[in-house]
Amino acid sequence: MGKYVTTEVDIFRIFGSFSWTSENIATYPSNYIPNSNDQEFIRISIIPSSQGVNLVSVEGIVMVEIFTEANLGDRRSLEIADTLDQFMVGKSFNENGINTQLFDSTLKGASNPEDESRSRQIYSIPFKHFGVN
Amino acid sequence: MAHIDNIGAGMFSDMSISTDPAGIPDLDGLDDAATQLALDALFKAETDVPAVGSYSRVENVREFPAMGTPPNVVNVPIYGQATSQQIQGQADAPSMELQLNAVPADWAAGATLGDMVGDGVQRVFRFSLLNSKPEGYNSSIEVGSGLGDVQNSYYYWFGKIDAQQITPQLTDANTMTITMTIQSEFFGAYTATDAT
Repeated sequence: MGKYVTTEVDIFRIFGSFSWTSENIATYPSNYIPNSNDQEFIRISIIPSSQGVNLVSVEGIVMVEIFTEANLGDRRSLEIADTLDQFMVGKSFNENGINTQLFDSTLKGASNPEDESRSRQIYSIPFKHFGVN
Repeated sequence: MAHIDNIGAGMFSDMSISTDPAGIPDLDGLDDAATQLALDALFKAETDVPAVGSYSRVENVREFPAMGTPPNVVNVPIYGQATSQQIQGQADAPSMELQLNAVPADWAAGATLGDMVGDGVQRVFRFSLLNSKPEGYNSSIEVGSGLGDVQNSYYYWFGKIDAQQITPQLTDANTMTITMTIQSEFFGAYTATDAT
């Protein structure tokens, strides 16, 4: 696997874990149509937008869009963000000398032109993927 | 686990100081493995109360200095050669300053760490390079309690805490500079392995 797929596999490993699925938060990757019956869900985009420390490394941001029911305040979005923190902040995945690290998160509100019945907040967390060559 | 075998950021790196009343151990004549055992024995239990095998962590570190013996390269002219040779001369002991996000209660008079400042007592220091968060910070192989839970590389040295300066910040976290003097070579790098 190359650096992009390895990064995706490492990060999606979080959301495939039993402890995450036990949170009962519907989770979708980007470029995937969510189930319209979900009252709340998250959508994960991995954006490897910067060069890494060598040819087999890459850096970027994991952007998690948090969709919750609109007009009910932000508390539920903040709770989901806190849950995401528990699973993501400071986590490392290393195997065979290849390492993906997640750092500290931020959260900001955003409009939701796709569906005004849901509020949308963007949780983002920088990552670095280190390969050895 | 073992030594760190990948490139990464040392997000969970740690500085700890032995509070064992026995002070610094006698390492004369010990080989590497025995030296590690003797020093590991001082970092078995994280507690604020000085006791055998106890240590205190320096928390809220904002910036670590470079760890290890600095170079002092000396050029030696050699008659008849186009280039000189180089040798490693005796290096100056490194200045060891830790930048902290200040928590004054941790460094108050009467607190374990606060009382170490300027008391003139030599202690054993340990710096652990950690890319992942361990369950605990003991230099032990006990599952779920030690550095061995994750890949780790650590160093020991003897020294003193000599100064503490607090810098008030009007729009950021207050910072504190802790200055240590170093009175030995650096021992390591060692690693703790998990019992499993």
